[in-house]
Amino acid sequence: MLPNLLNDNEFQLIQNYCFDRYGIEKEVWIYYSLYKRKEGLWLVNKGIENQIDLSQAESFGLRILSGKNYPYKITRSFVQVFLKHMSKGLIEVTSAQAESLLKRETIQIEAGPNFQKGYYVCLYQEKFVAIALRTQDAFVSQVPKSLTGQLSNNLKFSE
Amino acid sequence: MMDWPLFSERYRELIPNFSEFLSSLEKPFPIGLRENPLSCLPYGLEEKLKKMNCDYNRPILELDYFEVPGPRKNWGGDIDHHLGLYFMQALSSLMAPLALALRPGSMVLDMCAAPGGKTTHLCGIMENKGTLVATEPDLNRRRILKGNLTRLASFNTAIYPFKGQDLPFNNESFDCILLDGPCSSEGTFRTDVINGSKRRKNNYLEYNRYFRESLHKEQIELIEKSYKLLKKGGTLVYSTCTYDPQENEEVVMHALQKFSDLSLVPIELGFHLDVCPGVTQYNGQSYCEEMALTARLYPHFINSIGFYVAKFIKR
Repeated sequence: MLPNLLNDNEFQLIQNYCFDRYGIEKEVWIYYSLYKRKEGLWLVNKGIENQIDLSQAESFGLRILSGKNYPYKITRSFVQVFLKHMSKGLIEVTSAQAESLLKRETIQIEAGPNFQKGYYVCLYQEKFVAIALRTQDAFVSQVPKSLTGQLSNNLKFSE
Repeated sequence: MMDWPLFSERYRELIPNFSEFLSSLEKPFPIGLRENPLSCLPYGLEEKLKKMNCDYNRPILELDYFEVPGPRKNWGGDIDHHLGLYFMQALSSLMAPLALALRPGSMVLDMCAAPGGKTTHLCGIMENKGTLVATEPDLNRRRILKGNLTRLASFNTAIYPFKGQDLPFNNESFDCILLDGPCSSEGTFRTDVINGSKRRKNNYLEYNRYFRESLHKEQIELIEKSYKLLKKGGTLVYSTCTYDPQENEEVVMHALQKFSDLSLVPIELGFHLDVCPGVTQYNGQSYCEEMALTARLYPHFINSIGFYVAKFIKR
């Protein structure tokens, strides 16, 4: 299946979403291209399509946003690439909350009315721990089952 | 001491300080962590190790590579491992990507990419710039490769599901090629024994002529294809994790004889490593003097797995 490069309008929609929701400046995106593929958006270096035939590649780049349509869900790869550019959508958690999130448990955080629903990046002492979905009154861990199984049983965060 | 018929019969004259070599195969094997420069974490690996009061060793100060105490599963199950802070890798296998002396922005091919240790290392050196093509025909190994590229945040890589020989690219497409070919993996026998792995049976340690000849044939096909895909002025690194000259010097010799514009160049790593030169004679076979520019890495000299690296330039 041929990969589908996002056109200017679609790309701009993503830029605006990431600026509004996560504070990522639009200039950050000048080095990247985005492809719609397999229920998500994939990030690659700009111009890669001019160098190689992507139609024969099994996969390329990183899936940074998942889901069929806008608004998308951010992935761990999104955080890995853009965390240093993010100024919004971040919450600091305690060590106990970090452990709970990694066990795929839902946590309660005192959140004022400024907290809108959606996906948040949870940090413990500035370190990325997990992505969580803010619902009515809780943050639901988005850590995949596969990851929980691989982490050590003695996973502990010290204050 | 365990009996090593394969090594004793074939390599007694080839490997220097042979008795030390044999005993090194049964010594504890260090767990090595290579730091990922593409990590998003706000601290480095050394900082983490210090915080943990870990008794680590940095064998080469110029490299962000650390030897740590076991058990291995603790490092594989660590949250920072899953967040891409490091890759568990043997010191010897860092040499092949480093020998390429890559620049960010190059067009690079990794011929036999899975499981991705060298591929992710290349991405780190390239700072995620340029284009890296990784090819691996086996579906299960490709899954592991993809997982590692995702974990270590490499986004300049495209994965192709082909054998290296069948790659659908035009000739002279790549600036640099890493051919870490399929091999008899004799260099990793140490790892297997220390881990108590059941993967290799004892009789595998004996020489199987038909197996070696089929490997040699595939290595020849791969190096010939690599030559075709390499641009003029480009660099090709051929590496294996075996001691067998049939899979190392003989493959290199074949490439030099077949392609007159291909020549061996010294491997400059920018730091000292206790390596031995490639052999110029073995078992009645003679190879050219330039073979001494290739490097043999032995476990009793660098406390890692056995490895072989050759670096070519296409003029």
